[in-house]
Amino acid sequence: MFRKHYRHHKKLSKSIASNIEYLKEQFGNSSDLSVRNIFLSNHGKAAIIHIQGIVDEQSLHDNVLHPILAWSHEQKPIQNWSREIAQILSVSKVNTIDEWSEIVSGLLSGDTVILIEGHSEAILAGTGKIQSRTITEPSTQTVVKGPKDGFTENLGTNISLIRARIQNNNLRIEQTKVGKVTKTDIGILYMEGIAKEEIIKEVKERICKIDMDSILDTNYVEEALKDNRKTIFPLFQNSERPDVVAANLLEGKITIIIQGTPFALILPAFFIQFFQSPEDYYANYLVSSFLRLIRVGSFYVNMYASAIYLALITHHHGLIPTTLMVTLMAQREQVPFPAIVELLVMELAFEVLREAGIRMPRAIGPAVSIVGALILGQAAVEAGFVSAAIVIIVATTAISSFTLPNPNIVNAARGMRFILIFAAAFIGFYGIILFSLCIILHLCSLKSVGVPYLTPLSPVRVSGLKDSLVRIGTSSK
Amino acid sequence: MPKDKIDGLQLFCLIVLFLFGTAVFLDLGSGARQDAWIVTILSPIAGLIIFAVYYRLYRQHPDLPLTEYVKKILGKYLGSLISYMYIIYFIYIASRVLRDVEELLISSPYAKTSIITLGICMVFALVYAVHLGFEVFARAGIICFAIMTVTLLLILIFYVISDLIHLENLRPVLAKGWKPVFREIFPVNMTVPYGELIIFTMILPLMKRKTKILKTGSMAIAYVGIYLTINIMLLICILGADLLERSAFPALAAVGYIQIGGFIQRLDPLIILLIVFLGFIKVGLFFYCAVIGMNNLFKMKPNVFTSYFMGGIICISSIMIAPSYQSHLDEGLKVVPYFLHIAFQFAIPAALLVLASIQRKWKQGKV
Repeated sequence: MFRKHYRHHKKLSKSIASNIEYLKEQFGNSSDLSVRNIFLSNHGKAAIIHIQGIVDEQSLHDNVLHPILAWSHEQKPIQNWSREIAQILSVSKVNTIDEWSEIVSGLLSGDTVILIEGHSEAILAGTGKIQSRTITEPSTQTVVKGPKDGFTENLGTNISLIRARIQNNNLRIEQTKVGKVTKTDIGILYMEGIAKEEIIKEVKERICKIDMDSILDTNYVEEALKDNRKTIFPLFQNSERPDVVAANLLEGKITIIIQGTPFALILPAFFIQFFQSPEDYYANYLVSSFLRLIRVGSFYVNMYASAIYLALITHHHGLIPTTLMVTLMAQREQVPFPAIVELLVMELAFEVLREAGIRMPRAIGPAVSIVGALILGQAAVEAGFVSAAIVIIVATTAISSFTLPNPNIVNAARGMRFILIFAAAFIGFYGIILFSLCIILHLCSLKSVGVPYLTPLSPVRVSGLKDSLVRIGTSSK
Repeated sequence: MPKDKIDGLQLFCLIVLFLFGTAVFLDLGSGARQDAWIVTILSPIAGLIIFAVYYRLYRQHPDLPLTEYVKKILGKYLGSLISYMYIIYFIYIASRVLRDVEELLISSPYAKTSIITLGICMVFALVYAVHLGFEVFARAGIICFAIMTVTLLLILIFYVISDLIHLENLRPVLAKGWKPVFREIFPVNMTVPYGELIIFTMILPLMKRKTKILKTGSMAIAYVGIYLTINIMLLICILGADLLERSAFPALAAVGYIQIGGFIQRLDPLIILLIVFLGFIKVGLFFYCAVIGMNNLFKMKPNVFTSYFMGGIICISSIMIAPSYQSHLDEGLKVVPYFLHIAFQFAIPAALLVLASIQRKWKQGKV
């Protein structure tokens, strides 16, 4: 009966002992819930409660414990303990609250709770400090020349990195908690006046609708925000670089930063963006245009090289110049498998190698590269299992995939590559072209938060084209 | 009406792609021998007049496709019958174009492949396109337009570099007077491709309101006219009038001559690319119009069934319409223009326009 009574009302009682008991019960006597009892003058009693590890111990000691203890010995008549204590705490965030749910969520985000005998309200002091690593160079999207700082797992740090770049009061940050169990902090950032109102509204609505237990990475939010779930193409951009986020915010994009992951979500994203590296803007525009074209080219090489080779070798012998044909056929003579089997085996072998390269411990890296390069490459050719041309094609495909700054678009190209290989094996160039048409149609049908994915290519936006496949230098006015 | 919105640039690209369609590969006006280019430069004028008629019709009912306003003008029963006939006509032309594409592919790169396999593959892609809706199709049109332009430019550059152009093939000009030229223009070159613009009466209601349709359409027709003229002049220069008249697919024959540095040769993939892209857009437009018409006529919501059904019919009839390529061509040159095209492209729209104007005048007089 007693318990039910408490749960029903969810308000604090006046008795400090029952309040502490309730809190302990809520946390299931968790060992990191620390309760410190203090005796105040005039027989007053108080308790200082926090969760170890997520509070700043230094701040707790200097700004909460110390003032209260020093002051508790002063013998003077106190009318309202609660208000007086709230006055003397030297932390910036102090709230007086009488709802259990808010107290619990405060405790969980690192606040210190002060309960006082005879008061049915508690004081919450902001002492939260979540452990995070220091700012380091980002491990993806590296640049040769340009800013070297990257996001950390801490939301506050990340926002400060962006604030440092855009010192403008129009930078809006809206924070909410998402995830029924994890209650993860999510920050929505945008530039007031540059970002489109309807997109901001749309994003906020979709975030409010998220109905998930946990949010541990950007992809959880991504899945919830997607317009079109049945697609392999990335509809949002991920970045762990504050300079990329700042540049995108200034272009009117919206950024979502999530506590616990160094990757920020930038939306809406356009197809063309996945070929742009931050370095494009830090180098001469002619050079960066050239590099961007190389990247776009390698994307298509990555997607099409093996399919085109297969189409040529199985369906369109006539199209290969004669001398080249002789060389290729001489190599293929001793290979016992049909070209498609050969190609698929090598492609899959490379995918396995790539996966192994990511998952294996660093110390055994050289061993894998020796096995991969020597055994799979050289020995397979020498033994006559695969032709050298196939190894060259697969290697070209592999290398070209590493030029792209965003891993998600590479994954899309990988998926498309396998389907294209089957299309080519089935009906040659005709199959490749028809499937490419389907890809074009699919890309045209995609939308990222309501904005067509292929903007500025289709629908055409002339201003956007100046910074699409090539970057046309901006003249200073 | 569906809320798809097409803007001017998309309309331009679609009209250009549609008119290029199979025209780039077929021997347009080759009956006029070395004067074929005069045929291609004059027929757009006819095209402009035809488009103006369709535009007037659209202006009278800016929210409805052809198959719907027919019913308003001619009454429920006769109107439904005419719109049903139009749907059949669209399906028939779609299968004709598909047959052209199939024959082109069979003729050289896919000599050993069965013709129905090529058709089935194409139809699956088309059903996907129709399923995604017309707005997506129009947006993809811009990309296809860009790819087509680049490919055509590349081929043009290769022609020039490999020194294939013999201008003397163009002479003598008008050796047999104007008669063969006009015989080519009417009806064959007027109906294909320009008369086929009739399908845009189904598409114009999807346009954004403020688009200058007449201007965009005229620009597209002029662009196509100029390009086709350049194209046929090139073909005459490269192949000569005799070969042009004899070969089934002059573009394929001309590309075969390209040889640069002993390495750039056999550019057939570029031609296959063009064939598939242009054929896809053209069949796709007919297909899409037939589906819209069908859904409107039988008051169905857009559904997958109609498009699969329609796709199956187009695929099968593309093979059944003619026993061989030669008879397919004969039908296309001697039967279809006179019996079908003149009725569906000129007679019915013109009659509708006149009737609609009279009806409007009459109504105004009554009020």
